[in-house]
Amino acid sequence: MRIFVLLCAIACGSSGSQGSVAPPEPPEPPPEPVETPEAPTDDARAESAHALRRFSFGARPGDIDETATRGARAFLLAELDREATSEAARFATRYPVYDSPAQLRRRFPKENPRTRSMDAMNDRDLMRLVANNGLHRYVDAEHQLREVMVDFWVNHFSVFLRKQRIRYTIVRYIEDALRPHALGRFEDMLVAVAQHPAMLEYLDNASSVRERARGSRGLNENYARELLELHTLGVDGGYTQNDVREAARVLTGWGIGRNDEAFTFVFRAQQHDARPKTILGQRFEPGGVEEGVALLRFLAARPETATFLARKLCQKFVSDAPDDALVERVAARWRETRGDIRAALRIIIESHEFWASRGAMLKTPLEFVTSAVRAVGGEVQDADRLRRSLQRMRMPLYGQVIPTGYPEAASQWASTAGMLARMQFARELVDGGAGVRVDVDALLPADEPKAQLIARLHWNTLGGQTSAATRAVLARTLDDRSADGRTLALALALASPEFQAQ
Amino acid sequence: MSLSRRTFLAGAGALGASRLLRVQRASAQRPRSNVLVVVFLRGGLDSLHAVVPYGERAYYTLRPTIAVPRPGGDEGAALRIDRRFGFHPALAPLKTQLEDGNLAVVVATGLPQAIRSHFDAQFVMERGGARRAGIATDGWLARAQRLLGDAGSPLRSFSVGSTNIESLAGANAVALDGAPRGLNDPEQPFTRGLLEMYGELSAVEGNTGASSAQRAGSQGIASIRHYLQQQRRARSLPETSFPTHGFGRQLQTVSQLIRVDPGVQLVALDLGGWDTHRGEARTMNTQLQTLATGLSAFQTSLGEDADRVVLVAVSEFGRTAAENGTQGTDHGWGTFAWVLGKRVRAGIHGRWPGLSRLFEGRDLEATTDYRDVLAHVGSEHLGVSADGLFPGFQPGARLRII
Repeated sequence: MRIFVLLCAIACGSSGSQGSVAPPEPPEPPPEPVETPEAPTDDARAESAHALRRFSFGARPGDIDETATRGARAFLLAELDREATSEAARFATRYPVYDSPAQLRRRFPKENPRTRSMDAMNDRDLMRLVANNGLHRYVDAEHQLREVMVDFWVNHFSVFLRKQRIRYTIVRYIEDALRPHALGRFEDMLVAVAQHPAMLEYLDNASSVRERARGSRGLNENYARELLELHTLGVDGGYTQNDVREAARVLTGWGIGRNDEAFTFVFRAQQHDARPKTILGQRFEPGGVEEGVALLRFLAARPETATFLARKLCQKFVSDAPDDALVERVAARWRETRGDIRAALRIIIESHEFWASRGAMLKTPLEFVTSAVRAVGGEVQDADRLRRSLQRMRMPLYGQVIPTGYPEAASQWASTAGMLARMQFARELVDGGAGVRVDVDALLPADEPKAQLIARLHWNTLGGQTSAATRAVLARTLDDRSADGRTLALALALASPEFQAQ
Repeated sequence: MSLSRRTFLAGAGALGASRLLRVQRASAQRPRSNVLVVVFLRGGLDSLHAVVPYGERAYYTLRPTIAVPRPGGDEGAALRIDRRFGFHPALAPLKTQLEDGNLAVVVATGLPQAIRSHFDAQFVMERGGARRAGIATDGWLARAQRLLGDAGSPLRSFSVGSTNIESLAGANAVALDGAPRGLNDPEQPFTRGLLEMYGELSAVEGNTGASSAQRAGSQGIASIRHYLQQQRRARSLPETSFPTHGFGRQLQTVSQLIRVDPGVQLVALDLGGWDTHRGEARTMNTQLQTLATGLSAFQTSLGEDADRVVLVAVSEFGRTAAENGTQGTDHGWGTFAWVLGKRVRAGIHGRWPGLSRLFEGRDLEATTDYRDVLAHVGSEHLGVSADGLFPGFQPGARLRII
């Protein structure tokens, strides 16, 4: 869409920085009638930029004005209530990863390291495709808010792509257990996750059986512990080691089918511990598979879970250290609605804390990479390059080994090596070396006056947060308005400290 | 939020020449730091094919086609170290180091419990734990960095080659690779722009996201510029010869930086390629040659700085004692660790469990916890406590390597 640019407040004031080598500015064309009634104010733009930084994988050129025209708050609430549409079809031809795990295993057999062959497709190709598909979807998804929440849950219910057979099950896990509930009810997602082969395998519940079962290795507490610590109550959720053990006993017999029914959830009554258990003071009577479902719904409904998830959502969208008052408001809504995720997010979107937190957070490497690609209106041609860039920044998609997921806080990502890698990526991206097609002429037209180019960078790239130092740098760089100069200005904008802020 | 004066000055000055001059002047007077270099041999090194237990008959029955022959006249025979062990012939340069008193080998080391996944085992080792559950949130070298404090160099801890070495996770370590090129040339427009945007720390006041990026970024730029400057200074060092392979070039960089910058304390680098499931003899010949020529050149190059440098090389696990059906070996447990340095007690260390009793009928047992080796080196060489490096870990094996 056409971008309306206000020249007044954002025009560069650094005319003194033009060296003697720079040719005199050509007489500027008469200003376009930019101050049409529809042109949003800078305040409205800044609010929109903030909304898009938090609730999308980054603003594309034009997004900020479009959002501002609708009103940032109204836009987010509409995105929140937007009907889910299936976007998978757009990606499935390029990334053949949406089939059933059994089909994927046939097409991408596990590589036998002893008979390594270069020609046949194997599971290593699949792992690349799976991560590339995920990244590409983050960048290109139409319904960005939902996609951001999908990523939030992928990270909350983290599984490790490379463990055992998860490479075959992870896409179905995301599509079937996480995505349908991403804005729905938490307890439904919790049950879907607990019964998915990816989680059953990742946290070993599939190999946990009642003690003294014939030929068994006994109880494995891994999933039960993380269920309490990471998925529901939180580490300070008041449970004991005994609760962990009892929860593990409830979930004995929850496993994965063999052979033909591999990759499906099965309940094996003979491996299930059929004696009563007590968790957080609540007695669970023997009840087969339903007993486990009851436990999951019980945990989802606990007030500790409401507070734990409310805080995590606030840390994702508002601040690394959110106010307790906001957390409590979100938690209260969570409790009232029995874990309606959409309702909890609505509290955040309508909170003054959210709108007052502009630029308070640091993008994670994933958010940096996706937002850079989107800011330049890039067309992803080789997502594998993006995947490798993220790996260098220590945040490979689906690559977190431990079940905590990746951290969100700035303190975890503001490292020297990490920042240098971002500067390098900014350069690579605009030079066309990141597997993304970038049309610099479309972003920064050669025939526009310098002030207008700076205005474009200020809004489209930097979301209205350009500092004086960065503005001076961009102004000097754009003294050269050749393709080289404009490309360089774009790289510098993406490499700037302000672009790292969220 | 306003930045503290100290942070502001540190960051703002970091890019100016004045601080670099101060660093250099100070470094002339400061005692030169002790240095620990850690090489992670990724892929699971088959210790039995490198430090060959030729004294055990079982070795030859377990490995009918790939065993390294007993010391003697045979082509490709092991080089005798003692009555039990010999080195693979490609390790000849390291045998010389051992004879010169610079090399200790700790046999049968590894994780306290077998983990046979590369990713899991490397991750657990680099974070310095025993298993994935409840593991620390930072790497063990990051903890070492904090315990050591600042020795006055932006390069006090750095990695070469890889940019995401997990043992440095949580440290403000510099990755020498992966930074934009040309940071030493302020005439380059991209560099000039970066220097200005990351120079004035007050510029993005009020935007905490941008200012945390700016602090880290300005430190990163300063570190890389310092590195490039040290690299220029290194041209005046006495010439030493290094093998031309990538690992050799990386070690050459490490050696040079240690010699010109007295503030270097911790260095991490990788050598991969050890996952020898098939055709092992050929692969190992090349791999061991790369390792041995690199490490030996490194040790020799240190000259008068050799007293303060120790290099440790570890791998995530060893491999099956028996060879598999494709003249290779599969993932196992116990392997060995190298400790290289002028201060070490040269020779073979650790308790050898033998090949007649294998863990789960297949693997060499790890009788020495890898943390015993690292904690020993950490306390004797760097003066940091075992508990600080590996919280909650009770040292077991009594090692006297240093």
